[in-house]
Amino acid sequence: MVKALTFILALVIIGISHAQAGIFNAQTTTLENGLQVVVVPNTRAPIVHHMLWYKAGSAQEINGYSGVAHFLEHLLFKGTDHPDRPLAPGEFSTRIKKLGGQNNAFTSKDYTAFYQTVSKQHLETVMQMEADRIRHAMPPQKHVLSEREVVIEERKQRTDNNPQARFFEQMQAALFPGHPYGRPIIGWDEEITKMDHDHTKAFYDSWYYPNNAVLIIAGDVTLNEILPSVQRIYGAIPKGPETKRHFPVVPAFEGETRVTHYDDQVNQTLWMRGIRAPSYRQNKTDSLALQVLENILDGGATTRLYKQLVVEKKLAVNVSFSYGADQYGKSTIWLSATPAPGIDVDTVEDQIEQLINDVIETGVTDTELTEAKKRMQNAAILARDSLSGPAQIIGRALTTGSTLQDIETWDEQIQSVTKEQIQNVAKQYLKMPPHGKYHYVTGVLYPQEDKQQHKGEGERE
Amino acid sequence: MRYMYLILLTLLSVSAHAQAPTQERFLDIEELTTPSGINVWLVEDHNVPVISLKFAFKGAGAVLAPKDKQGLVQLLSNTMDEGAGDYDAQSFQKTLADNSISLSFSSGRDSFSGSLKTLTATKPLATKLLNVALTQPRFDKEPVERMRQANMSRIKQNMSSPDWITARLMNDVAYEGHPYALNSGGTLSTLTNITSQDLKNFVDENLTLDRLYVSIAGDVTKAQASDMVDAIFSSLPKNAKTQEDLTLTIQNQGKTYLHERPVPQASISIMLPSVRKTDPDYYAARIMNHIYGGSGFGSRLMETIREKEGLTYGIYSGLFEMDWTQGLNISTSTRNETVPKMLDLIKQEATTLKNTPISEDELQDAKDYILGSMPLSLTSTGALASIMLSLQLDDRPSTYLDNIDQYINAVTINDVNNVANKLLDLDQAITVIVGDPQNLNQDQITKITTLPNVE
Repeated sequence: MVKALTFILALVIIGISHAQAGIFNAQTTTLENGLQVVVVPNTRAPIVHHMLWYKAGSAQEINGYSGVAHFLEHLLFKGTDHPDRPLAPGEFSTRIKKLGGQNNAFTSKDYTAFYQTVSKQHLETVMQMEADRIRHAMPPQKHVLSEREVVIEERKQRTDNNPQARFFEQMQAALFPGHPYGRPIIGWDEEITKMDHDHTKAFYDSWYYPNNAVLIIAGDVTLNEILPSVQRIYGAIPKGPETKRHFPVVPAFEGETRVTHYDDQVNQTLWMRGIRAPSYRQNKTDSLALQVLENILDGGATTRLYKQLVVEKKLAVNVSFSYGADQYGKSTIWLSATPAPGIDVDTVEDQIEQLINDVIETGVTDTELTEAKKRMQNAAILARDSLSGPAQIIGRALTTGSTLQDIETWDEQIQSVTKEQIQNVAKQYLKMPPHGKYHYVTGVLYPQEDKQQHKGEGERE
Repeated sequence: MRYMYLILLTLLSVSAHAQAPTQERFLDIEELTTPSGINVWLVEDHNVPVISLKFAFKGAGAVLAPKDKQGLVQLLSNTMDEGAGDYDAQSFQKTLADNSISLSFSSGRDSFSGSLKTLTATKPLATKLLNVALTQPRFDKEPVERMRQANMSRIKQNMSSPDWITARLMNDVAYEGHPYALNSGGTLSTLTNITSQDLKNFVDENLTLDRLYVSIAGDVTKAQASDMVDAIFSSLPKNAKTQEDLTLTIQNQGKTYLHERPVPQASISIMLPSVRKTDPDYYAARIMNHIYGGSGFGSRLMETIREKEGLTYGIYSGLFEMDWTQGLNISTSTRNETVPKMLDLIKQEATTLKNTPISEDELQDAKDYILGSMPLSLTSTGALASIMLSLQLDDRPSTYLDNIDQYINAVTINDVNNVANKLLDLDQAITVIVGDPQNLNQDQITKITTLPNVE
């Protein structure tokens, strides 16, 4: 007992690092079993947002078993067989409700996260419940089968009933052939209908360990205050095997890839292009420059894309450029546009390419750079006006290879980006052939009635 | 999430005999009146250098738009931040963006509302921008046309969403003959009828001080809040025309409507009449709804239909109240083959709730959740401002949330049983199905082939 106390005290004094004057001023330590703990103090209300993130998502599934990561997320609500504290299927959520709390979970390509929001006095209770399902989630077979039906309904609702979602699913598959990022997170219909207990359990036993997880608690607490209970509850779970995420290479395409969909439920044309680009983990300098470029091109109603295509030239009704830095593997830049009525989709594509070529050839202006940096710096302040927002940002970054220091100093890193770096990343990642190999996919989703007309025009380029 | 939160607020109701708080307040709301006479509710919160201001003009909603100009108030909400005073659309938007000021307007059926969020450092500029947007909106041809196109694109996009079509059809049949039956977002043809002059007239006639409700939360003192509100709003016209009584009884009860679409999953919506927040049965109705389908996981509908039967990804019930009517709705989706089974189970759970008293535990769990979850909404300055604005729009005292526990705790098992019998008469429900449902008894179904008020 004394020994344990001394150990805890030592952790409190030595182990905790405070990132000084960071965006969130989060506090962190790592338990002996490898669990990283992050606390984001927020005294607005006597509540806490408690999240456990696993560094495993759909990208860690074995080929042929797509959807297993997400299915497992569902099954973690189907009971635990902890010897002292078993929970019946569904009891996890109903208990949280009795506490006046809310809870849910989500699965992404690189991570799976479970969270609860409760009054501060219930924090220990939810910690214990969450800790118990790190190693003791074991739903009975019949609940596995009924939950599979639920996931099939979820897929119909999210994807099968939605032509834009089906199109986007095909775009991702085309952009990442043979790579796990090409699979839908929810899984292919043919594979989720066959998901079973054993393969899901195998995924659980490969990835769900404290040393492959990050605990984030945002709210009216400090790390010093809660570390003893975190240590007692989460620290008691044995460390698991070392985990390592593995990704195949996706070679550049030798020819241009195009996805063309016609759909009778669609009433207007949608144009998209996905371009593979490095994530923050893969290349910090380039990723930061891409983040600023994203803001210069699509940081509001007065930045380049919207201003030129929607306001001035009236070629599109909406247009967007989005780059997500938080990926463990390759990231993607998604460009999309809805052509204005009467405007041919090829015209829109040409104009977007021309606008990007302007950046490649002449770069961005000093004013654009200054304004984008200011917007991004303000965004960092505004991000603190939220309970769950900072926990989300930190969880996403820490599970995709960033450190807390990276997150806390994000605005300073953004300030260091130069015009040259921006022009350089534009050249390197946005330049379209004939220079370099193809690393992008272009797609168009048309209303069904356009098909006849296109046939009449003969082969499209 | 946002939807749940709105439901929660909708459910918090008013009572005439609220007692003075005896313990620590749930939310430290201060009421103040500005020198020009505007009432403001304020929560000071200096945690982050951010200020959120929310406001609404009650009565100035889509309900006022004529049938041939459906979407008028929606288009207004999109164009009021697209140029005002000396700022044209681009310079107005650029000033907002360069200073990270968020300003947005939104149109509801009953009111026109807005939200301003600014860093403390840019408070004077934010104040000025909102003032000119409200008092000198330009409605220049270019932004009006651009926003018209954006709305038409949104409608075309929504036309491929079975859930959206279901909601659209439900409005059309449940509110037949009333302005609520119209499409508040506009239709492809009515949007083209709206002129800049229409937008100007609407502002002049309807955005008036007698309709205004304001709340502020964040890094601001009482005196600063007062100055800010007067600087923004005090020059608005005083009074609007008196609104006519539009009280509505839900129409077409007991009927089932089908719109066929070749999609793999059918979307289902069910509506029943309900009680108003001022009704003595209201708190019992709220607890009954929580147990029936309002709470998500743990509710009877979710446990039976999702957890046991695996028929859906989600099923929810909720109470809603608008200025002129109120109801209870149930929404879900299921594969086409299981639509009849889904409808049977929804009815069966209602019957059980009517015929068998709930347990003491169920009652206590519902009360614990409803009261225990209240602090969870206090997460941002915007959320605090929203809570205060909703309370005002519902004509509640600022101490309401401090005292709500006594109204909730007073509800008995018998109250819940009685209100279930009063409200859950599924034979009187309106049902709307969009999809390609199989094995459905077609006898009593009205098929709708053309979507009303969309194109």
